[in-house]
Amino acid sequence: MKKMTIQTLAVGNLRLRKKQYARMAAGIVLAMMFSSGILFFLSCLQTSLTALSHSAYGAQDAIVTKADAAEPLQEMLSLGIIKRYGLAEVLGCASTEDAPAKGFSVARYDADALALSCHSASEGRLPEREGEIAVEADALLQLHISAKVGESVTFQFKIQNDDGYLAQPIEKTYVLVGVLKNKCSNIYYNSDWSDRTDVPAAVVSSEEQIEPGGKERTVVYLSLADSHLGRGNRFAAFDKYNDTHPWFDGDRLIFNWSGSYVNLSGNQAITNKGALAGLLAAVLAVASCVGIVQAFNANLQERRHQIGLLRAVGATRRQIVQIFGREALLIALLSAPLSVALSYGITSAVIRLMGEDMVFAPQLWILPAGAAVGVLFVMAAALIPLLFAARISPMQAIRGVELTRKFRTRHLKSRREFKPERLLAQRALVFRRGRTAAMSLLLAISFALSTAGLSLLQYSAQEQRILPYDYTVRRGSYSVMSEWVNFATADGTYGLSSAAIGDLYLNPYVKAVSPQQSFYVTAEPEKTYEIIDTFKSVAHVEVPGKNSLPSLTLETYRDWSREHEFPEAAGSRAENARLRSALGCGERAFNTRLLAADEDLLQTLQSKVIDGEIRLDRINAGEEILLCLPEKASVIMDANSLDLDGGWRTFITFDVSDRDIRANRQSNRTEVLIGTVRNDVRAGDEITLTLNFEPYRTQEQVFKESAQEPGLMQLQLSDKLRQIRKTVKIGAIVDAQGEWGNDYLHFCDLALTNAGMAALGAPEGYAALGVELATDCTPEIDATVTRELDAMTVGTAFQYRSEFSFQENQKQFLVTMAIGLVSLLILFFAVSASMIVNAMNADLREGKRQFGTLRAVGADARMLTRTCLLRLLRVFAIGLGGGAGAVLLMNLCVLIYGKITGEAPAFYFMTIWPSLLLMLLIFGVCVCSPALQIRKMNRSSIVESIREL
Amino acid sequence: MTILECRDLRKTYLSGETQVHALDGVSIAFERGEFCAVTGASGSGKSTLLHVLSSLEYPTSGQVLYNGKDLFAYRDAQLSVLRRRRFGFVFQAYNLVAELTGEENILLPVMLDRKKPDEVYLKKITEALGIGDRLRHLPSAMSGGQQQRIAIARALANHPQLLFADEPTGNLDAQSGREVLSLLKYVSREFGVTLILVTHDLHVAEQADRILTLADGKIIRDTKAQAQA
Ligand SMILES: Nc1ncnc2c1ncn2[C@@H]1O[C@H](COP(=O)(O)OP(=O)(O)OP(=O)(O)O)[C@@H](O)[C@H]1O
Ligand SMILES: [Mg+2]
Repeated sequence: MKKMTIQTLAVGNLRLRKKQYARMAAGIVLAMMFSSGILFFLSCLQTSLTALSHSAYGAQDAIVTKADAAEPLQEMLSLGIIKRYGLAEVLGCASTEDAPAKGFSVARYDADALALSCHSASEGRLPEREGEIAVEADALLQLHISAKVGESVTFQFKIQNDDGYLAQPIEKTYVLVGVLKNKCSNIYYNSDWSDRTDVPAAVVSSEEQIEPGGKERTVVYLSLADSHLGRGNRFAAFDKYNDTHPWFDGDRLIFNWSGSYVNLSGNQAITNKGALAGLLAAVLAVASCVGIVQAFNANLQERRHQIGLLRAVGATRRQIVQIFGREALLIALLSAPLSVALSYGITSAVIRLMGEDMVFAPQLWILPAGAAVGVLFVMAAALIPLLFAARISPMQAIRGVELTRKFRTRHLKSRREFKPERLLAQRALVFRRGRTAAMSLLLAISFALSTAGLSLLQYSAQEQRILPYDYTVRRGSYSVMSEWVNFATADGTYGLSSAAIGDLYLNPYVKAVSPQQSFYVTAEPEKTYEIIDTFKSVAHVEVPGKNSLPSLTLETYRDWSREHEFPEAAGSRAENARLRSALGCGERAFNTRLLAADEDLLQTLQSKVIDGEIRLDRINAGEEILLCLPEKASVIMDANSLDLDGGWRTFITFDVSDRDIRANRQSNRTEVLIGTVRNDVRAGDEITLTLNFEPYRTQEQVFKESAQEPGLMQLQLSDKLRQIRKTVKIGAIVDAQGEWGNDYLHFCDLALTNAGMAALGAPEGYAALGVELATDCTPEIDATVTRELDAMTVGTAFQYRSEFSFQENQKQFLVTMAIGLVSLLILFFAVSASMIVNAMNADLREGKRQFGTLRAVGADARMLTRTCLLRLLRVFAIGLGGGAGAVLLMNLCVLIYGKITGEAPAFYFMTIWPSLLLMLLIFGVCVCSPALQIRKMNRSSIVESIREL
Repeated sequence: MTILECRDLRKTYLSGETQVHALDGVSIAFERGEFCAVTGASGSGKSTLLHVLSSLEYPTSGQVLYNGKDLFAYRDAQLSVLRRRRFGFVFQAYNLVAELTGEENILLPVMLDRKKPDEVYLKKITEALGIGDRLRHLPSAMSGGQQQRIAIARALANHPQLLFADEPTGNLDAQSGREVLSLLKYVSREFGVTLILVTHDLHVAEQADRILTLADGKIIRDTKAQAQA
């Protein structure tokens, strides 16, 4: 006879119970697949985000746009402060004749700089020889260069001379060998306050030399050493070094915050997907935990008896753990490669489904790590119940002492009359609490999950907003905020030009373009009006801190606000007074906006007129304007707003009553009505407008610290200020807050036509455009229009939004969400169903003898099936209850969150019907399988099932 | 009057290559109210005979007639009704339902039949079996003898016509064994129950109306047939 070792016993066990182990292995493969799948997924997500950020901004941590010396870099490298650096030598700035104000820097890169900047050609290649150039796509667009790859381009070339340029530009011709992916415009997204030429946007070969007389500007791309990653301030060591070794001007440092300070439209999508993936991962993690423990528990239950017998013939606890643990290890090791392969495949498929900006590139160490995590997971799940099982005494194990123990503690009520199926189903729940709990938990999770997912999906489907125009162009950020002066941008304009708008009309699909202007204006009425005075007094009152709310009337309010306002407000009032007098305006003047649009848009305000009438001829002549004011206005004090630390803010709105406020209250905010004023402005009254325009200057020149009050930045008026002053009549008063094309009319806003604006003498410059198409939009039409809009907005602070692609994106996102959700649900559905079926079948197998006994004493198949059904019903009832509880909890959280933040909840998790349907489906599947099993068992002889195993 | 009859019963098991004839051409008839003891060496086919007679197992060939009708011609549901109303079976290995208490186990056939339990009768049985104080315990908390007595009570609970008992006193001490036997004899006489009982105990066998002896699946001795002869 062969020598018997624990190993042979374990292997023997495997052989003897092939079927049982196959089932268990299937469960383990599934579970391991999930756990390694999560690893793969997270790794891919990480890679995808990094790849996205690198392709958008480059791999560098910072760019120094002008370095005075390169030696400190070498030293920092040896000190371990930076990991890598590369130099790019800027040779000059290229522009064209028709757009001399715009341009981009051309530089030759060393290998490190090229690697760090991640310049790559989306078309063509990088330059290799002298005379070749590769330019970023947006830079080409900005200069309206339509040359194709391989053609030669002639630039107006300003030769670099250290930080400036040589006086005389030259003509320079390059062969365009490649179009680079955008970096520069992403780094400078949404701003035009500084030249975009600091960072080069074109690459020439390393052989290229600077023109005679010039001097290169050195741009440094650098990445920090890894040891500084994950620290609070990654740049601390870098900053400290630079304090003692000034090798560049601090203002010339550009951090690359990987998308946090530059907005990248792709990021939103990928974080959305990330959120979805997180959800997926969390669910799969739970599922895999439950799955493995479940697989082993079922196995162990079936073999309690065997453990008892082994103990009875003298196996020690250790040996038991060894025998069964070794089995588990064997199975785990055998199923690891399969599970890892499976999860690799599935993850790659899911990632591909999720869209093209996701990269499937898990790091290689994930493979063994996935397997190891899986094996560890399995061993933990196997050993914990095993240790418990090994602890009970042999006889207890043989007899199924579990029952006795639970019986003692629970004091079952013995019944003298009962329905056997009901009693048995109920007892099964009590005696197999663990398994019931596992099944119910799964169901509860799948219910809550599908409800949450579907509600989210429904919510995001509802979210689609419709803008009035097919395309909307708006200024993204204002260069300098001031309510007194309008500043021109870098190219000397105050916004988009009518020439650019005219170009849009060349597109055959464009039906109408609605251009809208918006300027700051100081308006001074001829008389004092209570409503305007009130408006002025509340416009800037914000009182932070936990002051208690005094009871105020409109009369006492003004003094109170002056007493309680914060120092900055007092300062700014003094500053305002100074500016007002500097600009030659009187006490009654107030700052507001002067909006202009085409006649059509003004006509739409016709129904809002409360006094006077809209006479387009007079408005076009610059004689009349419209004033936006309601018939009556209420002043409201808004307390407890969080951003004021519980302080007060006053605002003016249309006429409301105390009751309206209370009825409209969404949160725990306190709003108090101070009083109501009548609109005492009449149409026909006169108002003097003062518009100030100033040519472009950089920000530092505009503001200076006040001499009287250190810390207060004061606006410095320039001598180049151009002022327009004109007295106009108020043609009509419109109660039209919230109306207008791209913008909203606010309280006291003034409006007129574009023609009227021109008649006033204001420079042209549109702040917003609305574009309407003649037909329904298609991808082709969208492409032609967006090409046009790209050309118009690239390199400016203007952004456009295409309603079509927004809707398409939204749709695509929804589809992605739906795919993710549905696959998740299917997966979960499969897992839950298979686990429940497994558990039920395991019960039936364990209860084979009992099954036979019941048949022997006269139970028929129907009754047995009913027992099973009742048990399932109970499990589902508990699961559903738990799920519903979880959903309620989620809603409660939403509600509490709303209460805390004061926001009305955006949505509740309430789409329960599909989830119920899902549960029904699972139930159906779960009923079928045991029913079949019962029928099968019923066909075999009773004695067969009763016989001792 | 014949209540149960079998004709040329054969039961063959295949274990590996060899065939085991657990029953090898058994023909026999039982009268109503008869008390029949079945004896024979271990492995001679006693349990198999009882299983086949009580419809718990199909014979390889041959017939079992209950009240003149072929037992295996009944549909499964009908057989189930027969099992809970007319037959009682006491297994060699008790076979109690682990999740039910002693009392619930006893009541199981009654409840399966959706009937009200006959309290007086049940009280009498349990008292006679001496298990009145174990009724509220689970089988796993009972001794072998107690489980066996619960099994007997369960077999009797629904007033069966036929009681099959496979070594019902095997796990009992002499005193309790005698008491159980006299209870069985009592119900057999009082309610006209046909009692077919497997035993190794010759004292027990001697109290029967009739003794069958099996060897290698064949009846080698039948006291009734001898008496008639
Ligand atoms: N499922 C089976 N497979 C193979 N052989 C079997 C099976 N069941 C019973 N046997 C054989 O049939 C024969 C009769 O068995 P049975 O259980 O009827 O004997 P028995 O007379 O009741 O013995 P004991 O007094 O030990 O209970 C035995 O030889 C046994 O090995
Ligand atoms: Mg036997």
